[in-house]
Amino acid sequence: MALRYNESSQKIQNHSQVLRQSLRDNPVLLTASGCALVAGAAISAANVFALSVLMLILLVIVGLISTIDGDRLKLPTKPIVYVGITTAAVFLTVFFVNSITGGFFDRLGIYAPLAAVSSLALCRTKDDSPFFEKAEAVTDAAALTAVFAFVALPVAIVRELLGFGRIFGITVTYQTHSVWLYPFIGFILVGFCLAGTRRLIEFIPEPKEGGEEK
Amino acid sequence: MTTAGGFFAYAVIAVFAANALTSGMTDIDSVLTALSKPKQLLIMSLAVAAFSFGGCAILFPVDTILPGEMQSMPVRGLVFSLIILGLYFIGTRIFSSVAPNGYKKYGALLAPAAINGAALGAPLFVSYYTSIASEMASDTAIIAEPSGVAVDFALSLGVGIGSGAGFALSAFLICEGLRKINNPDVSPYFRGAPIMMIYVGLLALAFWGVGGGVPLLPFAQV
Repeated sequence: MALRYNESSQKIQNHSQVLRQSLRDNPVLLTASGCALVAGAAISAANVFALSVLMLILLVIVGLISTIDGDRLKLPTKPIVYVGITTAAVFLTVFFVNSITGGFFDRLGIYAPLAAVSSLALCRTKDDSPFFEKAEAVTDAAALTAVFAFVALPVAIVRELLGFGRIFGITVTYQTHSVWLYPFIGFILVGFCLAGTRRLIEFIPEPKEGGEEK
Repeated sequence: MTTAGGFFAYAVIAVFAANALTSGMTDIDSVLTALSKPKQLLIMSLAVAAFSFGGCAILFPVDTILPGEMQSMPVRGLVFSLIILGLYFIGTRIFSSVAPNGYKKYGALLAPAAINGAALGAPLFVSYYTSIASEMASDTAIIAEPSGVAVDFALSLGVGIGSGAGFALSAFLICEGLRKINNPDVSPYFRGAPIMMIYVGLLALAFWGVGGGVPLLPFAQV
């Protein structure tokens, strides 16, 4: 009984470590992975929700497959396998969700297929990416998506308000300008949101070897 | 003459107004891969141009059999991705057998060149305007023609080559800019990715202006 308790305690500790590690050393914050999609497509909160759902599905699938793959796949086969899988996943997700919701993902335009080749979706296929167990890979995917959504949501709210005069689809003002919807505004807002998120992430305790916290 | 004019018009659009990097089609990570040496940047840009041109050229016959509505964009994404993956696979085989030494040196650049939004974005961009040309005809004076956009060879060639040239130009400018803005005077929270995104935003604004402020939106809708 004590052994089982220790095992489950160790598992929870490992998950907690992975979660903190993924939140702090996040490719979104370090190299702006996936932020081009935010600059292009995050023009409303609904778009961010659609992008985040898509990204979560892709990250979970890629994370799980990379745990099976380990380091077996090499160039030039590796990119073909992973991008083939992500593209098929995007196609199936969009197809099924659109058929149920009547075109929920149509709002993303050409950015929905481009999510399949986003560097965030493929970040765990790189040679220097950490090795995870299956459950840890899911935790890591959730943490990456959370940071992605956290960066994207303020960008989308500002652009939806000033570009369409709405917040979460509710009209609040008629003083709008379409310039807020252009990608260059998206990039600038993403830059500020990344800096703000970096500041906030510092409040999360840094994980250390052996499960201790700094 | 019209074909030559069309080629240059589409190439300029692909370089500036629909630049893969400044319109959010591809992540900046792909540029950082190519930034370590100027020669690598040149080779990667050539590879991007080759893949985007290949994608656009194959799009010409394939696009006619796909349904024309915007709703079919995921289908196009799947089809064009498979086409580009096929081109990448064939390209690596040819490159490794024709120039094995060159492949050893630069073969690793082929994957990021093929698998990024610049190579996939070009055919999607062409297809996007093909499918909504009639709706956009009144707004987009340059790309939309009175009878709708015909996906012709000039368009494919122009967008394909323009996409690679635009990638090279914006990557070079990002590289030069990053050298100057990553200095100790920048706040630690802004150093690296955040300041890079702000710089890319200003670069995108300049490109948008040079491109004549053509209203190429909406790529995404609300």
